[in-house]
Amino acid sequence: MKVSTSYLFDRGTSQMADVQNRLAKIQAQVAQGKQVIAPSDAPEQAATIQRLKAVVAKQDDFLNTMEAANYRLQAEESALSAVSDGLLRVRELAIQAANDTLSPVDRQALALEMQGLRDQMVSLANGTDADGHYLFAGGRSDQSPYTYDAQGRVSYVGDQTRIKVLVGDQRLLALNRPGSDAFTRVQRTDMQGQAYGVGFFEVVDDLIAAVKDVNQPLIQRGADELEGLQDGISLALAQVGTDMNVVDAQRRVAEDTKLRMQTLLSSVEDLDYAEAITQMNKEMLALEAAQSSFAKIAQLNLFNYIN
Amino acid sequence: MSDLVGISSGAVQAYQRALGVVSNNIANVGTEGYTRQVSDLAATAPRRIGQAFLGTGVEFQAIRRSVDEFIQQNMRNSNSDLAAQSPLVDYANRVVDIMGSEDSGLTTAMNRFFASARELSADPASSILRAAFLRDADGLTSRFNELSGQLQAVADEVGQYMNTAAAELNTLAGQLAAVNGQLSRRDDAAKQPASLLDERDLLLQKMSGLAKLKVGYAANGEATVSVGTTLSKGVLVDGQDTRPVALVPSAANPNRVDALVDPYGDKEAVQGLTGGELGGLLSLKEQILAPANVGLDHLAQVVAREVNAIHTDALDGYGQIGQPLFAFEQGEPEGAASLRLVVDDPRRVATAALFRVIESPSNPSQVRADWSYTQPDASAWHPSLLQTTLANNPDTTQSVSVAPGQNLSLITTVEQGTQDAVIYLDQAQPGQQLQVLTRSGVHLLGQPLSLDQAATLQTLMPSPLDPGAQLNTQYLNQTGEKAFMHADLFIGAKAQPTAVQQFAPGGEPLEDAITDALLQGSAIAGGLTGEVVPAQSLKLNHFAMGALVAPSGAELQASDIATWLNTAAVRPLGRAVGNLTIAASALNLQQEFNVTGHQSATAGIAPPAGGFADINALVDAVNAYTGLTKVQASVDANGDLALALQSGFASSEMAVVGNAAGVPGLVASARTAIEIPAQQLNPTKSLVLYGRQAGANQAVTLTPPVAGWADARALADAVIAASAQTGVTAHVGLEGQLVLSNLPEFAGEDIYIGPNSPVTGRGDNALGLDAGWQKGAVSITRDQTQLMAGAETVADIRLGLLEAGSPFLINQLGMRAAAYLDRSAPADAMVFVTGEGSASVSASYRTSDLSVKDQLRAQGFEVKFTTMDRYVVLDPTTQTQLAEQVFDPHARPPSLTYRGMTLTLTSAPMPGDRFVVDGNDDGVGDNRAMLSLVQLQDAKVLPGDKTLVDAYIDQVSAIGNLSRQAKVAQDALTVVYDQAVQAREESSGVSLDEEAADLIRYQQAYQASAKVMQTASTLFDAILAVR
Repeated sequence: MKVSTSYLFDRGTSQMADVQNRLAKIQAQVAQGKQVIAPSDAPEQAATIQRLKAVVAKQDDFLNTMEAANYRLQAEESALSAVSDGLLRVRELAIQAANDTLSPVDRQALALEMQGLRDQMVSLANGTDADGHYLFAGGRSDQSPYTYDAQGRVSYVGDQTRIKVLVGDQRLLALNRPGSDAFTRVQRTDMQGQAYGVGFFEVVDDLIAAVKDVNQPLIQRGADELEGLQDGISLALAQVGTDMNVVDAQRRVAEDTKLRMQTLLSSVEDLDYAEAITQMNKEMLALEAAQSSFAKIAQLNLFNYIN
Repeated sequence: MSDLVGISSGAVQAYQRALGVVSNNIANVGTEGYTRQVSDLAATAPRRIGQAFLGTGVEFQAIRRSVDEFIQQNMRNSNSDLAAQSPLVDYANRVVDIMGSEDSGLTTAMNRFFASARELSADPASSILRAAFLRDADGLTSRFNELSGQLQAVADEVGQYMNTAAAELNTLAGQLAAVNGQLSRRDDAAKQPASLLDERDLLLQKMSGLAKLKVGYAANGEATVSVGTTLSKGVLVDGQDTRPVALVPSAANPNRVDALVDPYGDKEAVQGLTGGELGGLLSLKEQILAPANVGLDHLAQVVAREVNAIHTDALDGYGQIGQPLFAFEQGEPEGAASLRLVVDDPRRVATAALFRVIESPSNPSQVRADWSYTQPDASAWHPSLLQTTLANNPDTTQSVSVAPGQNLSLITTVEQGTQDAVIYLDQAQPGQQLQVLTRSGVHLLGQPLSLDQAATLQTLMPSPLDPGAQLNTQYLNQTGEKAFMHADLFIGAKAQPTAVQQFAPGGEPLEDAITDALLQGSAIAGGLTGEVVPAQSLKLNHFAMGALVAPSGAELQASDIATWLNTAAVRPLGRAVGNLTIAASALNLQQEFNVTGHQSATAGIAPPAGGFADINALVDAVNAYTGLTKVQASVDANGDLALALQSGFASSEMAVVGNAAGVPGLVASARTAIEIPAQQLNPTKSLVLYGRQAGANQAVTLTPPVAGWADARALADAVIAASAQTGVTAHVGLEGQLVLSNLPEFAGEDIYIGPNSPVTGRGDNALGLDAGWQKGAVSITRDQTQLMAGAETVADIRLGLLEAGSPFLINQLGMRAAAYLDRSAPADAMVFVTGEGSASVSASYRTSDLSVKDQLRAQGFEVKFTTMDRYVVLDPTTQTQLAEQVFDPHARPPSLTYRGMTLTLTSAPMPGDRFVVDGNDDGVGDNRAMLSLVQLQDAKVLPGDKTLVDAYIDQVSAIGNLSRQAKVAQDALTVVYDQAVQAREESSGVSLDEEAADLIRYQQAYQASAKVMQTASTLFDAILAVR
């Protein structure tokens, strides 16, 4: 087999160029600390990296959402527990007022305190979150949900839109409680035996009126109905608590997932330096060998020996 | 001796040449395409000496190119294959790097978009988050645009590359043709200069890098080259002729490029252009660039479609239905390049649901309700929708027939919101009724159904009613506040004032001119005798009509009907305590009276046949009931009717109602008119003519002059001449037609036309009409005289039905009966006909501008539970009961559906619970739609169950795989090519070692031959020395 002179030179240069290419790539990997410099180097790996990064970003979103949700839930919780305390106090006062021995002046004092508690509860029910949106208005979050009508009675004008947010891939969290869900109605029966509902604050107002009028049966009824209201608030508080637990649990899930994905991402994306440096040394050695061997071989020529 | 000199001198010469060849080889060691040349030395022919042959030396025969055509071809082919891969690898990598990069790719923008949707879903009322959402939506569209632009840039570059490569191929082809021209001077390849052939092979080698070639050689070494599947297709070079290659965008598919040979001459499409850079570029375009573009465009379309579907199914911050979020630039193909964000106001971002359900604050229970909406499929309803069953044309020629012999025939369903629907029933049979009933079972118009009919309706399959619908007649034929949803519904004959647009001379619009309503009938039915319309069966506007009776022994004429309409409305004549006087002029002695007296006792006082003879006869008839009513009648001094209560009852109120007058503001008139177009007149025939004025008018026979009637005018003059006898006059109409009509004093009376031919029994007269009575027509319009007197304005004229009425009666009067659903139809209403017989139905209407969903939003509804297992659906504004349904409180979960809206309750409701469904217009804090948008991120909306991002990543991966394949192929083909090059170098390459050896060999042979010459010379000298 004959090797032509030009072929000898061409082969030598192209082989050295190959090794140099490989070296340049390893050098870039080492410099950036990444396994994949351009997506075209490893399309599959690049796709995996993008997918993993999307998952990580999504977990971050969930965490942000949960943080916002948590603020809101805390606001709801504090408002509801304050209302619960207020209701307890109103009930105490109602029981005091039911005592026959009280003087009219004492009763008026009780009614006055009850009135103050009721006004405070109304303002709690009209509470807003950090952005000024009403907590208990349902979807009408830009209007205060409990308004006074011409007669001074307070009625609910929010709606029953229950907002849910995604806090996990398959997990929906209730973000709000319409006022009607927390400040529940009680049921009364009219003269015809037909049941009808009475709003939260109407019940309180009726009770205050009964205290003022010293109407024992109505005071008694009011005290009984307060228990129903208390139940409603407690239930709502329990739900808020559950939702906060859900947030805690989901937060752990999101953080776990994020960590797992980041570990996975690092294994796919980040460069193994030990391996890369070893590889680089190998290639450098190969290049040196190629260069020196070529230099020597190229000198060999029969003409050197003709004289 | 001469032999020796000859041999050696020949050898010296030969080796000198051989050394020249060697030195040429050495000189060309670096020349591209140079083929090593070999000297062919051969022994010259021997000379015979005696029995022996003596050699005569060596001869330099030829310089031979050390070439193997098979190896050359192999090298060209492997070169083509290898060159094809490099554009694939290079550009596919570029595309992957563009699309797959985190900075320029779509994934990050898409994830960002969904992330801000997610943030917005947690606080939908926030204007900051809304703005952020729009910003990221804009980021998504611009990323699409940029990607598309970058891909376009690559495509442009590839296009230029292609053109350059094609131009290079064409240049090389031209050079090859020139070489062919030089080769053509000799006829044998072996005699050709080696350098020419080297040049030829080098050109072929270069061309093979651009496209895969088919090469053929002539005997003299001229090459024929084609790029087609065979040597005869796609020929580039044939002898000295060349044909250029051109690449043009495919007309059929803009993403493809077609290769053409000789594009400006004898155009030939090349099929098998593969290999080489051109082949590689073509497959790059087809396999990578086109799918990348198409895939990206498709993705842009899907994104726009899916996001818009959610966004337009939601409410924005202004409480309006969302506009599309994305759109494609007008006039451009829908793709990634033309995708635009078209919402720029953050409040226009639609986050809220289109509906909501609100609990009434006075609900006794704490039951909560949730909703879901599925648009009902109206096309599956039975009977079918109006627009599919009846043409929008009230003309009777466009009608559909009602089959006879059925107690109940379903006609059509009018969809809610249909505008100004009118459904006519013509040629109705006695007792047939036009009925309108909502799908929820509310009877709107018509007559009460018999038990049979109701049962038939409820058991029809497929059912025309909603499942579980209960029949409700509460709103039947009601008007005003009592009407179904306060809608204007009417059955009968109706006319309205019409507004005519007016313009000033300058062209600016003026206030519309209002033309009075005119209820114009056509010719009344013939042969009507006796009681034609029973009392209390028709009403004109709000007034019930008395009986319409034909004069005894005579046929009813239009004039009788006009008189009846003007006099027989049931109207109160008076009401007073104690005494009451009614003017004689107000009394209609032909009609019935009702006299109400003490304790509201009412006597119906009917006239004898032909009416009460005079006022005294009426007085007697009233007094016949005094025992019942305690009312005594007499005639007072003025001849008026005086009524008084008997003593002891004087404090009671009494009232008289009589069919004594017309309807306020309306006046009816009759006219008999016969119109005959001029061309239908028979000028040579006579005409028998007279009006029906009992006894007074006589039949007159009009005989044509000898030449016949000159024209319609002549015939009209003849009729006018006889008017005094016939009561009929005539004139010529605007279109030249002959019009016969009554003299004013006989308006509305029948006109006799004759004669008939005794032979055929058909009309044989100047008018061409069959002999007989022509009936008149009735019209009702606004009474101008009363208008002057300040009477109230009458908007509509309505001839309607009372309980005993039917469309048949109206038809007999020459009027069309129809169900009018004015303005917007208030519910999905079905129209059907009860009663046997055939009739025809036609309609006019406009379909609704609002979708079913929008209507439901605008209207809303209220559900009220009346008992544990029954609920009614009410209209929130009018409190009209739209439907009544039974309810299953034990279902898990309990739910109900009305017009596609399903309410799901948390537990069984209590009687008195109410839920209102409305359009959520102020629900700014609702995030239901935004939540759907967030869920779109994980929705598998693309074929193969892929999410949007997955589809994109898969696309990038697919291109990456192609590039990987190309890379693998490139590596493999490099080896093949290397081998081919090695083989070529082995056979044709110059090795300096080899040449050095040759150099020494030929040098030594040369020296030896020279020595022989010397020896010969020595020998010759030896011979010369012999003395």
